[in-house]
Amino acid sequence: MKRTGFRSFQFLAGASFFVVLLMASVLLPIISPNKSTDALVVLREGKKIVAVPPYSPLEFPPLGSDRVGRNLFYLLVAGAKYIIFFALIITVVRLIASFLMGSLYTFIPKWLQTSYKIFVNAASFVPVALFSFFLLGTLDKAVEYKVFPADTYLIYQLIVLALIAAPVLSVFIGEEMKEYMKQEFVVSSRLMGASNFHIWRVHVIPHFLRKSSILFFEQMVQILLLFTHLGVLQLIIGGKVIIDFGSDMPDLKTFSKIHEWSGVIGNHIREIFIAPWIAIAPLLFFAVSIFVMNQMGTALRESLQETQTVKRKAEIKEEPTTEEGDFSFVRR
Amino acid sequence: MKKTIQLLITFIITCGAIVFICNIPRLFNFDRSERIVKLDTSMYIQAVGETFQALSHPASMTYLTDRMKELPLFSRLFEAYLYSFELVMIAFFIAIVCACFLGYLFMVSSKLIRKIIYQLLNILDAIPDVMVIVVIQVIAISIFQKTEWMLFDIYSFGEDDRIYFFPIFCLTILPFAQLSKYLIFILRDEVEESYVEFARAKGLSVNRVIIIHVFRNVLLQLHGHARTIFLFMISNLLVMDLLMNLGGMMNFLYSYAKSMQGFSIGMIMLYIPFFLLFQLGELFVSRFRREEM
Repeated sequence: MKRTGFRSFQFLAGASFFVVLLMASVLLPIISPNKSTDALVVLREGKKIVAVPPYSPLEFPPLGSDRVGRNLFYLLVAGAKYIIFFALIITVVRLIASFLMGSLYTFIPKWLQTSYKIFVNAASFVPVALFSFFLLGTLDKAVEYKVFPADTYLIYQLIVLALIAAPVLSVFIGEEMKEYMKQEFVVSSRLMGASNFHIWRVHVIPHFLRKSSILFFEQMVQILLLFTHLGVLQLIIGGKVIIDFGSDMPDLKTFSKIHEWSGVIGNHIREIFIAPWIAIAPLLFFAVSIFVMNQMGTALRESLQETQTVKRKAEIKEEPTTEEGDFSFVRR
Repeated sequence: MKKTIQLLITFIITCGAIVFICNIPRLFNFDRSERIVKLDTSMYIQAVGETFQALSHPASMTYLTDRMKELPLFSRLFEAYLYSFELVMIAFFIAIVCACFLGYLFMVSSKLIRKIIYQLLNILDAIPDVMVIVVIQVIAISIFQKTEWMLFDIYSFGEDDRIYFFPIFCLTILPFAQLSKYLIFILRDEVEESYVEFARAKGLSVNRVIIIHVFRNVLLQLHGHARTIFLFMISNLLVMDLLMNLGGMMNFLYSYAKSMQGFSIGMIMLYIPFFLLFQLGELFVSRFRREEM
């Protein structure tokens, strides 16, 4: 039998990809702390200077270097743990928040539901990236002037990014719950006198948990895409460092402090025509991660659909079949 | 008649809600001289009131340019909006037509080709929109450096320099991938319906059954998915405007709409055509369904 769901090849391969990436990301700075921080000032061949940073992927394999001369590949691998960890926190907070809001949505009176839906419909037209840029812009400035502590700012960023899409998701979840509560066993449970809380605890939560794994991967992908957009908007998550590049005139460049991928994109997107690989390398990391997550999500969704169809087929089989005994020849 | 009034009320309330949502960033205020960040509800309410006032006579609104000149906001925003609107609409229809074509190809091709198409779509679906734009720009530049031949305009210089081909291409490709994936998904379900079998048994050709009968039903289902695609394209538009320096509305809002009034109005302007198109589509679909019954 073909393995499905959590035990399918697709899911296991994807999971091991992330385990390896995270292990490498955590272990790399411990095993060789110099690799991701050491800058190669000039590249020499004998005594001749061949190149100065930023090195192209050909001069400095596999992915070239950044403006200071650090190996981009190690830098991005070291930054992987942060971006995945951030995405994980945001996803979990977003799912829990929208589940709670969705539950509330299911049990409130009809006119409140309608007005909440109109509100959410309006909210869904505002591009999330632009809105979070405006929302976090003031705090960004405050952090720059050292009025607002940077650590608290990071927590604020994560919470804002989590909650910003929660209303839209909550209506989605709520609508599905409403559909689910029309099932026979829920209706009869209510007829037998079950309270809203009981139905929520016994029927709604298990149903959501079953679906949540699929939603989880969908939201992870959404958030990774949002990170790339925020990178373009120069909204850097998790602090920045400013390095002066000018020799006589100040030439300030911002760098992501922890090299999370979207920050690397944001810092180098303006130099795309000078050193394209610096912005494309993190985008490549994003693309691979999103592809893997999509595959994992698809594997889970397929398995859920399969169990449903298997159940339906089993039901059909159980239908009483006409046996020989039901009919007998009538002698005339 | 009752339905029209209901729709009108929904429309007005939604516009109001957009204003309330778009002004939320005004809740946080950073005072540079006092060096504090404060959560200020009165400022928020004031900003909402000002926005509603500005909405009643949009011509009076102004914005500050880089050179600290005050210019009327609405006419400039409207110009940018028309340009963005053009791009989105053209891209949207090209994406739908291409997706339908691919869906047809998928249905008539062999199992191996089906698998290849599906895998390619999976890969295309995973690529971030930023990457599509950046990679094509870099490729075009390197071709230009080698051969002195520019494929197409990849970057716009200023508001009056309007480019069409490249933005439309970038705006089409990812919605196309998503639409095709969804279309193939529902097409597969649809061909297992009994009416397809019946039509084939009657002796109708495969092409006729797929193009006329199956597609008619599938397009009705696609209507519900159009909303997701449209919203996805809007967020693509933002990145594209910035990366290509287009004179579109998102670029304008990003650079000048710090007061949130322009932002609210821009979002309402985005909502209007969508509302009209969606209602029209709904009317069309419901009439279609009724005819079938």
